Amino acid sequence: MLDEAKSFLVAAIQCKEISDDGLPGSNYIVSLDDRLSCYIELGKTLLARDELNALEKVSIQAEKKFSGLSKSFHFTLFRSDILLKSNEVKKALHLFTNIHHVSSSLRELFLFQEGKLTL
Amino acid sequence: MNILKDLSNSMQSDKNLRNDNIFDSTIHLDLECITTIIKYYLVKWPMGFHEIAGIEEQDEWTSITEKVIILLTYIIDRYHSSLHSWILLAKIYLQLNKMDDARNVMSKCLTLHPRSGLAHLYHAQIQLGTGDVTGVHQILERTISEDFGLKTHPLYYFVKGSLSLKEVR
Repeated sequence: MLDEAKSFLVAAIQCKEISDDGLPGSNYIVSLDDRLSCYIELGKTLLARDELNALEKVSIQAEKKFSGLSKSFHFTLFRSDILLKSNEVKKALHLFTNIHHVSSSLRELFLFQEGKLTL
Repeated sequence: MNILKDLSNSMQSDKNLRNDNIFDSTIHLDLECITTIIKYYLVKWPMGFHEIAGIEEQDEWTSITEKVIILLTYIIDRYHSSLHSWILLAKIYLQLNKMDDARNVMSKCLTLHPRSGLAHLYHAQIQLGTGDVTGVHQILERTISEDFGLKTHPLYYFVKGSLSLKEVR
């Protein structure tokens, strides 16, 4: 199923309506939110498949592409997850706490979860 | 951003709009143009930008969104067959996370356009959030049975991929 998810989502982001800026004129109605969602779903799939190098590439690419949008914090979280998987907790936390869209309660939750470590 | 300001200004200054009597004489000429502008709004407007923007930008965002909804509702009331307007309105509600409104619009759209594969595809996208995996699969099957060409639509890939991911979880 994860293979299938990956192949469909890669196919989606390779469509020009999603990889470019989906300019009007085509019959396809693909909103900015759709484009962003494709990258987020692909990121979740790569994380589930433990494809961390690919996830990092996609996250960096998507962070640039959707820079400034509130939902783009997902890609920073993916990068934070990659660091956590490599036991780079402090770096992960630094990345996480610098996401200004993330509410303080979420940050606290994260701190609580990682509280077993000296921060 | 400029195109949105232009849209906002033109709608504010349109005396016909203020009098709730818009575009009667010009709608045939302008329908395509209006649809393009609204599509541009969906494609270009930074989704979520309002959450980090200042008060002015938030007000502008809310104001333009409301106007786009009014305009689309107007077009749909007068021109039921305008499939793209139905879909655009449903997608705006989806983007605003107003799921009931989005479903309601798509349901009416499907009543009017039961053989439209495109309408079924956008319906599948809206239903994706319900977690009804079997239901969404059925809608996708209907989509393809109505229009096989939609198998290469980016949102078909997206919905199929998201479904597969949901099934793993």
